[in-house]
Amino acid sequence: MKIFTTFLLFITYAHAQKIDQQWLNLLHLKKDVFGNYYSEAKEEQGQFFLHSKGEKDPEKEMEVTLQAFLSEKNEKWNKNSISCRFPARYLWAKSKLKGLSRSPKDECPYFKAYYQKINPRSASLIFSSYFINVPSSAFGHTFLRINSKNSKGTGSELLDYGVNFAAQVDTQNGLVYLVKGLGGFFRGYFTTLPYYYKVREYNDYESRDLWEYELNLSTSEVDLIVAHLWEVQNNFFYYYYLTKNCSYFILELIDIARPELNLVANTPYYVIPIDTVKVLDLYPDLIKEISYRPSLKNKLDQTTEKFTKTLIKKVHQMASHPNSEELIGSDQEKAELLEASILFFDYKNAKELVFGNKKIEEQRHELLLKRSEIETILPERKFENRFEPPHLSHPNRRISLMGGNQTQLGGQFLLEHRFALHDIYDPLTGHSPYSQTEVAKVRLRFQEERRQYKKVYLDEIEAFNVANYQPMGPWGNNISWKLKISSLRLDNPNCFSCYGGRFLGGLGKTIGYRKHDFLSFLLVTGLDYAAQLPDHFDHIIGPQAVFRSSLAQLTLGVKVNYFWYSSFSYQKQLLSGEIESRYHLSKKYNLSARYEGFHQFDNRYSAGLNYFY
Amino acid sequence: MKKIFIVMSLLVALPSFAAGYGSAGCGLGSLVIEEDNTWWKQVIAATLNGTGVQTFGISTGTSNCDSPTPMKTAQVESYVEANRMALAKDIARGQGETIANLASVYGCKSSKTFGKALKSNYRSIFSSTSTTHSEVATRIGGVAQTVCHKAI
Repeated sequence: MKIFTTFLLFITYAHAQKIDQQWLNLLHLKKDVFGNYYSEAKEEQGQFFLHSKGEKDPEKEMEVTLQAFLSEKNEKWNKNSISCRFPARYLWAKSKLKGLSRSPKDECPYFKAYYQKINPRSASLIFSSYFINVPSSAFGHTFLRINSKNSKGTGSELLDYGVNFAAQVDTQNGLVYLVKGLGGFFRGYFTTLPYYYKVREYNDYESRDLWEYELNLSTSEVDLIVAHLWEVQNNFFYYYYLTKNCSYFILELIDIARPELNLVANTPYYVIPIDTVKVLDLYPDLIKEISYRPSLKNKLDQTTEKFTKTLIKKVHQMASHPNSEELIGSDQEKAELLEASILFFDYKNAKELVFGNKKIEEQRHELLLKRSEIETILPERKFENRFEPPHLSHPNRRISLMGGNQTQLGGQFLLEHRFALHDIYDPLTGHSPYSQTEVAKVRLRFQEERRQYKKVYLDEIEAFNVANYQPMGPWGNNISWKLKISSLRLDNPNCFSCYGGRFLGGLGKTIGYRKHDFLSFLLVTGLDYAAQLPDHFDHIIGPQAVFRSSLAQLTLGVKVNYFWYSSFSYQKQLLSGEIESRYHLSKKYNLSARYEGFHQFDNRYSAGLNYFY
Repeated sequence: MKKIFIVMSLLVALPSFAAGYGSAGCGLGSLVIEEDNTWWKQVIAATLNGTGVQTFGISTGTSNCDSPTPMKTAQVESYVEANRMALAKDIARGQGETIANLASVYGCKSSKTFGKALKSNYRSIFSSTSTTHSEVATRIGGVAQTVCHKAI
């Protein structure tokens, strides 16, 4: 009877109040366009809703759940008890309802073991940096780390757990992949794994820096996340690359822990991983501490930056033939050479080591054995973080307003919008200084005709424009490349200013100097299509030089092209170039001035303002 | 009451996620590694927020993960399995994060002493590349026992 009274009291409370946000978060309920509830969590096995209409009616679901909890109040729990099946809902109910006071983490047979293994203390959001060389990672990635009590004070993050949300990709077909990814046809799942797997995956295998943002969440808040992960172990969520992706669902977990943050609602519709970190940064004190775990490549670069050419050569020899090289010098020198060789060996053979290539493993074993035989232990190196944290980068979207003049067309205004992410002239802070990832750029041209700007033309649509101008270094991976797909007014001498489509790719080498300046030489090739071209398709080939330099607030770039445009029946060459300069007023604004020249065809000047938002 | 009973019986036995990823047999060996660097796929992926492409796909089925071995040895064994590369490197150098980790698992006060001892035992711990993870774990345990004065 007493239970019943408590229950009734609560139901009255529930009705009196707006339905509890945390409860909605626990059920992953969202409202559709008609204002009806639906859950993002889909049932795969077992049951996620206790009431048959629970998905549509969170209050009913709450009633049934509370009834179940109260009825189990004095029973011995087993793994099928509702209280053990839904420990996060139980914790939530316990905070609202006096009648519930037991603890799933101590009393639920399987959940107890799981909980003890993770033994949560706090949580960190991990940003795995941009990885342009595998373009699928060009936007970065986020996941959550549950910091374990087991690791407290030892600095042993490797004992913590990583919580990842990822789609199960079930196709090798690029087109299917694209359609399924954008259309939400992949199933996404949460996985909980020891953090050391994640470190191996990102830090070592892909050589990506990890940025760790420790969150100001209490242990009981993190408990809710851990308990909730238990609840959704048999659920999947439809994965949408642009909106409901890895970063989105990680935010949902944080919203479960602390619903008043309402992070999901404060995140842009299109979820770019770094934006979710920026959202966290909007809340004062939510980010407690930022730390950095350098990639294998960064460790190698820092370890060897004072090495002479001879020493670098020795590292190369040692890493390819551990036994052929005679070690000379003091024990300290030998140890330094060997440790650098091991780093280089791991970097060079990252893939083979993950896939368990026996021969490579043997070679590594020889190298390590050699190192172990020298008694000296080197002073521990503290790897510096030489880049600024990625959340300090400029916003991703950019609007440009330019005024300009072209020899052929006359005066004009240009309005451009770029969806994401970064080009080589944008502020470098927080970005990889040598790469460019631009997606979905549209430019409109308001053309002067008889002193009026009445006509609007679609000047260019760029699907993507990605490039990596990674400078050559002593450790390989020295190829620079670029790729661009767009439709625009072609600068093709066979049909200058005709509107058409263009696919362009290039490969080359880059020389880096000073801080992040570079000069790159590429061989570019591609295809033009325009209905007005005599043969409709032209092949493009030719060299390109790209130069970029930054001086305080000023960024300057120069590109020079000499391309052949040919089909089966004709051929023409064109020398063209561009100079671009930007002055950064802040992270959000910069001034831009630009000149493009097309030999004997056109000269184009423009200047204006870029606004990032 | 009856309703709740029905609800409960509807809940089929849940797979025991509980035994966790930590125990033997759930490590890298059971990872499905998908390698796909086809350039066109990457090109297409470049336009997407393709954060779902994983280098390692990890299945959540863990029914093979129950292990009767004592907690610590099992814990170290799975640690060795997943982290063997870094661990071997750290032991050869006599210091590093993985040594600090294991020192904390074994309750060694000085990870420096522990590292030094492991280093001088490198050859016996990793006698060859075919040494099993469990052998490595046992041998590390042996070193811990002598150096850290703690029973495993």
